[in-house]
Amino acid sequence: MSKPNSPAETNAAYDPRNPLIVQSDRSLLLEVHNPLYEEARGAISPFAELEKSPEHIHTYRLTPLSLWNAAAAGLSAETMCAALNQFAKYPVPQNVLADITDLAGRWGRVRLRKYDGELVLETEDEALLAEIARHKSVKPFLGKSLSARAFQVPLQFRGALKQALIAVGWPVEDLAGYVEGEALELKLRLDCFDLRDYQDDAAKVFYLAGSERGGSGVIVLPCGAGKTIVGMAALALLGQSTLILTTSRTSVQQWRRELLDKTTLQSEQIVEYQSDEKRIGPVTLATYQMLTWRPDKTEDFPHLRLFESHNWGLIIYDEVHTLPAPVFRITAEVQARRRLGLTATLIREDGREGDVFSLIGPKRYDAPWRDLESRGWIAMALCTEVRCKLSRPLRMEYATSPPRMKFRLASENPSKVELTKRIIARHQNAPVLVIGQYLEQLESLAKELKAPLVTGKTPQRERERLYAEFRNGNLRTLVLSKVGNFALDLPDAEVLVQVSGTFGSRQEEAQRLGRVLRPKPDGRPAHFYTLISRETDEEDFAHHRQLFLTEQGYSYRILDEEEV
Amino acid sequence: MSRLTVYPTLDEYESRLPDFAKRLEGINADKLKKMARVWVGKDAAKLNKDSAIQLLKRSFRDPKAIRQLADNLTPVERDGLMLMKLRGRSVVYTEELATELLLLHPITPDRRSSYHSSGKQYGRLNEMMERGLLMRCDGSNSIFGDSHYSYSDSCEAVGAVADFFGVIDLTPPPALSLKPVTDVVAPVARRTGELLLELTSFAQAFDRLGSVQIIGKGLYANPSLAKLYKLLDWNRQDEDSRAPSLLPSVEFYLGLFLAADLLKVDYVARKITTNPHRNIPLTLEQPLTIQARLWAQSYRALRRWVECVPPGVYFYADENTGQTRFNGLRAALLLALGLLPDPNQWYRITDLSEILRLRIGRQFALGHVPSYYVPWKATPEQEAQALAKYEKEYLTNWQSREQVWIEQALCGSLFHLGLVELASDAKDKSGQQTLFRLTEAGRAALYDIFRQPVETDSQSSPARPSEQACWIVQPNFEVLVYLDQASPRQLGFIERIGQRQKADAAVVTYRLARESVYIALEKGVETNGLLQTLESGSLHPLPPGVARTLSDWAARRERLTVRLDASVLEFADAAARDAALNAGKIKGTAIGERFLLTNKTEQELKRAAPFGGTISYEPQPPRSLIVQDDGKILITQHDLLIAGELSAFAEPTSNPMFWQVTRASVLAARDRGWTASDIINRISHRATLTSPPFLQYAIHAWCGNKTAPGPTTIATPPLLQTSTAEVAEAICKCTFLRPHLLARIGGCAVLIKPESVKTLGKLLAEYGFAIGKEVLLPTPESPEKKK
Repeated sequence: MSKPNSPAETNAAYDPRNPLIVQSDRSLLLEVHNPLYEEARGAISPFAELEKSPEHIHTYRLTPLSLWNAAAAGLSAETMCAALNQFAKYPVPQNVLADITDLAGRWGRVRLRKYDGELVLETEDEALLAEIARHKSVKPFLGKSLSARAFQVPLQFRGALKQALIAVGWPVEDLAGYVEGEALELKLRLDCFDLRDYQDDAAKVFYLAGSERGGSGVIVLPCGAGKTIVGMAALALLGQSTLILTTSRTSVQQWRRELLDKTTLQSEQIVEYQSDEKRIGPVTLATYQMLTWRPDKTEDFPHLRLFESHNWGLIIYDEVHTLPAPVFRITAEVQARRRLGLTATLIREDGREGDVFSLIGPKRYDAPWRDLESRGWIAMALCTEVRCKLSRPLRMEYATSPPRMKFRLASENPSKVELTKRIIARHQNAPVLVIGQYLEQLESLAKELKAPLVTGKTPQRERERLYAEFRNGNLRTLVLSKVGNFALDLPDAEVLVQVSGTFGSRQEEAQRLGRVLRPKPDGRPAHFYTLISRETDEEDFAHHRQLFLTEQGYSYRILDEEEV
Repeated sequence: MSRLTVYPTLDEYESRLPDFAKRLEGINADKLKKMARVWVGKDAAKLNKDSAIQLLKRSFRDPKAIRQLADNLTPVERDGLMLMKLRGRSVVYTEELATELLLLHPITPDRRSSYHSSGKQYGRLNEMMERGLLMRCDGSNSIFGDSHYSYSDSCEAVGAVADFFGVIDLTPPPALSLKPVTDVVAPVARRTGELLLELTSFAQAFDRLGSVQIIGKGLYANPSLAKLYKLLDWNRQDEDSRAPSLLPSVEFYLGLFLAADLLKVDYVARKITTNPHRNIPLTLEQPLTIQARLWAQSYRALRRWVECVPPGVYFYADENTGQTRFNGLRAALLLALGLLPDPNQWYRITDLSEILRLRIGRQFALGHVPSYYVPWKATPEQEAQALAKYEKEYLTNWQSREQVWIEQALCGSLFHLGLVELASDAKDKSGQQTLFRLTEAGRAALYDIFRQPVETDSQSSPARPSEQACWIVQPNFEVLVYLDQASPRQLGFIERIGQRQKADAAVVTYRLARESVYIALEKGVETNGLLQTLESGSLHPLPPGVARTLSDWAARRERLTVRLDASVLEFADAAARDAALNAGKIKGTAIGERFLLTNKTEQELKRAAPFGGTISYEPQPPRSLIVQDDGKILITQHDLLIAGELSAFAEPTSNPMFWQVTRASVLAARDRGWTASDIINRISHRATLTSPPFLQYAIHAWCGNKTAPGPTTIATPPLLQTSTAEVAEAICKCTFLRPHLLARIGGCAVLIKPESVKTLGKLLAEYGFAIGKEVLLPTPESPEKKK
């Protein structure tokens, strides 16, 4: 709690009809059930970042980045302040208004331009440039001084310099433009599918009519909302050769399928870059795992050369929240190329969201999950936590186990097998995914459920076969290990039973829910069950795991095993 | 140990009030006669000392005499007793009453003597003391009727010699002649909810901390303060008493709560604790208009903290040195606020200051009181010059000291306590807040008290304001509280059950966490009431997941009872236990399937029933396992935990006394995350003897450890060779391997019986040893190493 405001900051005026509460720490609380909600949301979302959107009050935050993005899009500080004043229930704290004016005013004062192929950092303010040039974190990325108002910048430091300048509070307006990639003729096959309005918006916001102000950034959409389609729409807008990086071979296959299905690209134009077959094509697909492979810990990553081995016009980072560190590093060096990040959960358990922003680009588009749900673009999901008991002997074993082992013991509670069976029986004929963390538990479940198990060891071909069986309805139940956490497109999955997970990972929880969020043809809701051993550490971890989804507006129902 | 210099609170003064009648004996006859005159008029002159004492003793107790006395009181005396009645106490701090009386009855300076003298500050109070209506409460000067002459009398209190309050009416003193300001802009007021939240959070943080240590001089000990700041999540600024502070600090609230007698000083333990005779939560649940009276009174008596220290004024936070002048000026200021011509109008701060200067300024100052002496044999011109010089100094001093302090008190503390609101004068282009007005709470606490009956005991009759829904509980366990809509009771509740995440002027965000719910239940929030109150205060229905989880947390806490030194009796089964209970030989509470919680001693239990023995779990569970080389484990004495512990890595056998460590059981444990060391440590923890080394190697081998036991060799002629001497030792000591051995030769070699080669090899393999056929040659040392 900060200390109370000084008298000057407190004001008696109050308009209870308004939906917005502006707090002195620059967070904005928006009342969802207020009649002016939609209008207020429209007014603030261009310059405030949606932080969380639980059922009743959504939280936005004014960050330097959100204000700079807004300023970059041409929004003035006065407009932003006016929007806050118009919808605020209580008077807007003076410090917030002052911060907006100050921060928005910083945008555009430092610019990166290209003159005769040379990158130049310039500003009108000599003192500012002197100050910036003296910063320890900025200095290493500056070349020779060209004048009191300009510095030459080595090309390879473009990303690092931008990152450093953002960190010291002086965003650089990058007007140096992008390298134009090899041209690629393609169109979306809009006769075969509908490009939804938000998908179209997201792609356009990213592309920004080809200007240098667009072309880099992250699109955040819920699982099942069609991020791949946004990627393809961006690709179609740009029409240049593209490198698509994703998390798994399965995902590579999915991208390929989607590209063939929804664009005019031909099969031979889409190639997969593999370690044994280093093929590069107009649209090249590769996995992070492959890119970050190296023969020895002391050696370089040989496949990272892929970034520079072709004249890419666009690099798409699928599931950008999983971006490994080496890819971050190489991305800092390819700032001249357009970059698009796609994710459902911009949460990194390692806290590197900031790096995603500065290296891939700022968040360009974000849609609350429940909004898309209400419009039928993703399935309505009913989340249920079912608590089951540990058997008496196991309870004693749990009680006497070292803390390190308790979670696993609780996760592998054998009662979950019976409970899973009952849940599956409850949803007769519905396609069910059972997902978990521990192989033994999954093996035993697969055996009991007489369902196939897909793990990291399952050959790719076999996986594809099983997924195809599941998609065409021949297989009603599929047991998955962590391989099913993300980038797995099984549109018909209707019920997901999560029997165990990676401790308190919010991201994993959200991603797993995403497996059942594809809208069902008849509008049936999806069911997401989490099985928890009652009165164990698993309860606490589940509580933490659910935070992201509850902040997206989902509500968990809690049942005892007897109630299932 | 040095003496703790902390002055008593009014509660403490009242609780050990001297027996006034007894002290009359020590007063001389002249003074006694003067006192008696108040009661019997001129007849007092005829009294001798004894008869005067008898008369006074009678009169102190005689309601009729007291009623008659009321008619004879002077206006000063009547006001003095009224001010005490307003406090609801028979004791008052000297400084406060002296300055208040001076404000109500200014002493007009005469030409020669009354322009100076700090002693004059006590002039009006001394009048009451000399007439024997009041007496000093402290032990330092027990002579009845003594007056106060200087600042050195700081911190003393005076008490009324009899119960006058019944006959003293509340009569508003005449209003001050202040001119209201009508052209007002930018009014600001402290949000009530914000203030209530601060008070509540302070109280609860103190409750969690338990106490605050104090040092010899009565100052708060730094570590305690730091903890309190941390609990409150307030930023501690470097204290600079000279810098005016708009922000209340922990010291401010500590002083406030102490002065309100909600906290008390433990003189022996040198710490401040909650006052067990006061119900803090109940006090804080009152509407602010009622609480405001308490906080105004406490603010007046606040110690160890001041609003600011103007230049030329000295202040030391310890209680050894006088700081009561600040209390005196606070008393005068608060009284003046009660005498405003119209409580709803805006007034200039400077106008109020000027009134105070004119009424008390010649006798009272925070620092040095300017003096004026008529020069000896001075001409009228010289006299006029000297007077003018004095007047100038007097005005300048006041404006640079007392007026600065008054501005700070109004714009800082009184604003923060929600007693006044501030505004700017429309004609003042600087936009500074130069105007003030009483808030609703300020009117109730300062103005209405002369006009409405005072609730003297706020503890006994809590006035519950009507409550409305004021918070939103979200599925992510966040609670957003609209401060303006929350009642004090609701704020107290939510502050107790939630962890405060963020507090802004209008909205406070909490997170419901298991720890905070447990603490709340610990502090008396009832399980049933928790959900009910949360629901009734909620603007939307409670999310089902939240409601369910809160119920679970509450239920779980209720199921767990920690008992120290508990004795639990174990029976063979439930029937045996119930039979023993029914027979009436043993008393206790049945718990679980076959246990009984009892408070009987071991001896008593032995007498009552056949008794198998005692197991003590402290400091650690008993060592009751005998472990054999082949992994067989014998339980010599069952206890509550042993089966659970063994089941993690061993298998039960048909005989409940035996368990077996096998390759399968170890592998199963390994798959659940146990390491070989974990298993060996767990066995050692409970084994009566050291675990067999052979079994230890076997466990390592089963867990896939490549380095222990390491490779072994069986050679021809039959020779068992091991990688280390320790492994050979372990094999030789193993009881079931020994029959197959002939002799040990060297550190790592053992001769074995020729007919046992296969059997021994099989046995070793079964226990995870890798069996080779090559003789292991020692690794040649490198030349460098040799060198």
